Amino acid sequence: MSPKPVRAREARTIIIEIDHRPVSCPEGVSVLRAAELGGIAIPSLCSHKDLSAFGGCRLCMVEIEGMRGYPLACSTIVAEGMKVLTESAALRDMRREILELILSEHPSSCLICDEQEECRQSMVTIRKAGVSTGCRYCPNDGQCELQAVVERLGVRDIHYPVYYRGYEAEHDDPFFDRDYNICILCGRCVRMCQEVRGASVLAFKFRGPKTQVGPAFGRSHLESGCEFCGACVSVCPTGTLADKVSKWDGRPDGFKISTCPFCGLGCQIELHHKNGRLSRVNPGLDPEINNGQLCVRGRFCLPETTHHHQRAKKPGLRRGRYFREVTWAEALDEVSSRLKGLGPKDILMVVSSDLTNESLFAAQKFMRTCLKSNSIDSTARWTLPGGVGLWASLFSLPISIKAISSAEAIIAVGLDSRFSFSVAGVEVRRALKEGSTLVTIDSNESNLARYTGHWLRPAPEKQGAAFKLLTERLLASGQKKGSSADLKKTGLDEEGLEKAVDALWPARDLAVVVGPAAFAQDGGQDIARALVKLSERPNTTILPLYQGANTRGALELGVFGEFLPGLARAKEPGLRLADVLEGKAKPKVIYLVGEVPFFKRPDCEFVISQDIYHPPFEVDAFLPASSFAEAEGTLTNVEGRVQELVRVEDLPDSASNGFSRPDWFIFGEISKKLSCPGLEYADSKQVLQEISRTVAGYPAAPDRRPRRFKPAENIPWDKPPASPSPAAEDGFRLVVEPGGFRHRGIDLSSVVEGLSELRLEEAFRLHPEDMQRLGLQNGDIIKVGLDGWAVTAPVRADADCFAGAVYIHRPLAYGGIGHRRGLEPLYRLSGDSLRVKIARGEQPAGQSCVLPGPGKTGS
Amino acid sequence: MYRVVERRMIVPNLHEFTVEAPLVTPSIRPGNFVILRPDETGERVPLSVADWDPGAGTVTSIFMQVGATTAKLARLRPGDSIPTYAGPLGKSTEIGKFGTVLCVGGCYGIGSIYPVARSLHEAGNTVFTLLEARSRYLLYWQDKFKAVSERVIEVTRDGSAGYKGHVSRLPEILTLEKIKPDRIIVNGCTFQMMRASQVTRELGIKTIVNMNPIMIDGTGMCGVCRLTVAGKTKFACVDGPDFDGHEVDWEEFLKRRKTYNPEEVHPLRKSGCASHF
Repeated sequence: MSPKPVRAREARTIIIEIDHRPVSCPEGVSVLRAAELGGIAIPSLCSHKDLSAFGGCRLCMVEIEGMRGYPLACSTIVAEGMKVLTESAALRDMRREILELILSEHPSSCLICDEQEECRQSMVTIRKAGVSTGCRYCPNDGQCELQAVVERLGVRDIHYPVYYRGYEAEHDDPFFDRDYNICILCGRCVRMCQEVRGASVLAFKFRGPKTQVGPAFGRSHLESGCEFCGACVSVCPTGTLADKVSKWDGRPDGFKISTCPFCGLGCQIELHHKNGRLSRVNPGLDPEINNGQLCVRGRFCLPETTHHHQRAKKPGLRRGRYFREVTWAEALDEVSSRLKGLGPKDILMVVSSDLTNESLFAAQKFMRTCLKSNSIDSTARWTLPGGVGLWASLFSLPISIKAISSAEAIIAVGLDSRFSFSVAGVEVRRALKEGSTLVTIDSNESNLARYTGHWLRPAPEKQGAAFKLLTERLLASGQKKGSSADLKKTGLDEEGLEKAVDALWPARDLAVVVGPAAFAQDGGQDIARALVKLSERPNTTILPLYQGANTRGALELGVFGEFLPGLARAKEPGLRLADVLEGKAKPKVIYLVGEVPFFKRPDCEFVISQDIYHPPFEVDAFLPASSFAEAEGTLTNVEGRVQELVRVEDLPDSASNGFSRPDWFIFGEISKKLSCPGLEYADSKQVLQEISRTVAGYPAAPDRRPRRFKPAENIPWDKPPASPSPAAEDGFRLVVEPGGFRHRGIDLSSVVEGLSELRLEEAFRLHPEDMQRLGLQNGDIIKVGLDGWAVTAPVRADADCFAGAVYIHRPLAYGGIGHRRGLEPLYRLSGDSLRVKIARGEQPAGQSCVLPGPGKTGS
Repeated sequence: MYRVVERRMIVPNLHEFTVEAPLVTPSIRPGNFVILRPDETGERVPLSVADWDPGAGTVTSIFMQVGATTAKLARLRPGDSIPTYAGPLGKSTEIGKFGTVLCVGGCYGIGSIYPVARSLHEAGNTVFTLLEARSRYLLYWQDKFKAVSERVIEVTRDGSAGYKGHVSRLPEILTLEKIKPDRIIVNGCTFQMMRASQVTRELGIKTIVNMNPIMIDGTGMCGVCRLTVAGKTKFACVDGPDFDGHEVDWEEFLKRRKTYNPEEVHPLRKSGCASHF
């Protein structure tokens, strides 16, 4: 067990003497840390600033006056007046001896080779070996802590017999490879997984010379709950753990601090680049949001998202039967001629909430000033139940990610933080370690539900009702409120609810985290309303999580047609996406900006797609947008911070690399053709300055301070949906949850090979007991029927599911997953109280629900 | 389709790979190579032949996993099939009555020098074998070599077996071992062959090297495997792969081998298991 982290308290500064120099340091730190503060580096391989002391490598041994032997600097706490010697002949000899012992079990012939420099110079290929047998065959060559220590201690020879462990290298989990033949057993990965992530997937297994790191009982990482956050990879001092995407890129040329473009948390990331190209991503150390942690998407999925071979970087136009690549000039001419003279309701623009603030603002300005239309919409609307008014109210409340870890009590609703928002999950577990109380409301057995005795498990469609009931009782200071009928409706038992309320209400600080799956269900609006209500309780912070990296920016900058930037009401309402989907409106032109909200080409004269990948249907014009790596801008996170997205790659500008351009720039170019002034910005900074002039309280430059909306009392909330008709008692509940990962219009699993191997979106899921009862095996084809129609797809067992319900993921974007077209009727269903019949079925010809490789996106 | 009879990691990162190819077997001679593809969409790669069994119709190679194609090969299991297996290709190593011959093998070349040593032994030469590796756990087939050599000498960089150091210690090792070779034949990585050629030039001993350029068709059509030997352009596939190590333009050869460094990494920039071994 690790020591409890020191609570924020002013630590007394003390003075100790290191190498005959006075060094001042806070009380309670280790000698190693004190030396670091004094600018003295003591060699060490197992210590890490975020982890408890381990004393595994023993290289940090020092001499301390009055202490017997050679204490370890990492595990010895400083004391006033302590006299430390970090270098002496005896220490040097012992450190070399220890290092030689480490090297005798680490393939290190390259390290001690006298021809290593010439070998490096003449190395004819990068040796992309499956197993590292020396530094020149190791992905960590040139960036290895062990190499650095060998260099520093001047070890040139190994006097011990060389031992090779002969383990099979582990390549069979996605995202990172493991070769424990070169592991030095420093235990950083194990401590990271246990102490910081709280995931406890990694442990030491076996004993003595057979000691090895890995999940217990020989299970794969995937089976043992690994979040693939890559925190272990980041702290590995050797090449034992290496991320697959970038392992052979070698030492990066440098890195830039940027913001992750994948979700509303806005984690800070280090974008490492090599030869002008994004190579890998490491977590930023920013203490405000992610504190050196990331989720699988941020850590591993960025390079493939921008570099996939199907990335569309050239403009294209449909000419008769053919779609062909054209120059920007041709594409802009055609698009602008089609847009000229359109009425306000002849066009619908659908804008992704993954775009930067600059591009969102330019999109709405383009629509409103050049086309005089308010027909602009975003699928972000679907992630915000209760509408703009309710969410504007939520965004006026104190929202904080950091507050979770210091809260005395936490309520988590419908959040599984394994692969999404895992930084929030880390904060929750950090709080639990400090003794906080956690109550989860989740019909699924989420990864957070496993950490608490207070797991309230309502039926899937009753999460909203359950949360509402809990908040009512909390606000009534734990008194029973609401009839027993209310309680019965939620399916919760009185005792469990009472215990949860008792555990929560004495807490001083309360943090509430709600996952996007909870908002997407029938009771989503109840949850949002209850959150506003709950904020009446003092010392309460909320964290409402939604889909889309910049949904808050989209709401604020006028991408919902009925609101102008700054949430002023637009005079004329425009078309909405729902109108087109429901067939109520038929615009002449549909302009999709980073959105793919359907599988089929919509029924209209001209379709424009502006994205980083082609959509899975025929369009008339394609305008290639820049990815997050190629363009700069800002994203607004859930707390209202306006954070910088930093460019690491040059804009491609060649026949071989393509000609993608930032979204805001493309709008400017079209506006020029339409002779409409006001959109010709020199750079994204100018756009941000204009936003600042237009929207009250908006910063004129990236500003990382959290920002709250002014309470928007004049905007009415959407009406609560009619309570669903009581479900028939027979048949399975059908739960259509938002699932998978998207960036702009593409489902990420279609371009990120590792994500597709997680098989998160694979067709139907049932509780194992239901599977057994129905005599089904994983992979069997079932037919799920409703009102005369049925959909056929494979099924798999998922112990997290609510018994008696059949689950399916609704993709967040339809780009790249054309092969799942057959399931579309289910994705369009609304309401979670539907009951369906399940029967064995046969796979219809030509339809596959098992993900094919990234090459087959279907079109 | 050609059936894979055996594919096992013989020492870390080196794989013994045996394929049933009865039409290839009868005409194989030491020093030949084959060209194969790991799957229907895979690239063509050359592998030196390390052994063959005319009775069973099988051919054995030793390959090192160094990239996307060898990673695919390393995933094959006995019983799997590969679509292409063309050979034998290249001129065979000259086998004659030379007197004393030193066969030097390193890495995958320990495999491909074996049939050379065996044939030289059968031709009545006095054969010595020198095997080089970075560490003792990377040496293999010592018993096979003992059967066809007067003596097997080992050199490891960390000194964990035999002499400590590199092939560049060859003059000193020859003196200590009291060997005066009439000819030296080296199969191994480019760096090893280059180093060996440099030190034997001073000793004035004819040195044959088995070159390993980037190669596509292996029949002299594409010219990708070109190299300069004694000032003349040669194609390793049809004029070699054996050349006089003292006549090879090593600097140019090393540069040519680096031509596709960035492209070689590209297929491995994927986060899934399918693209890695």
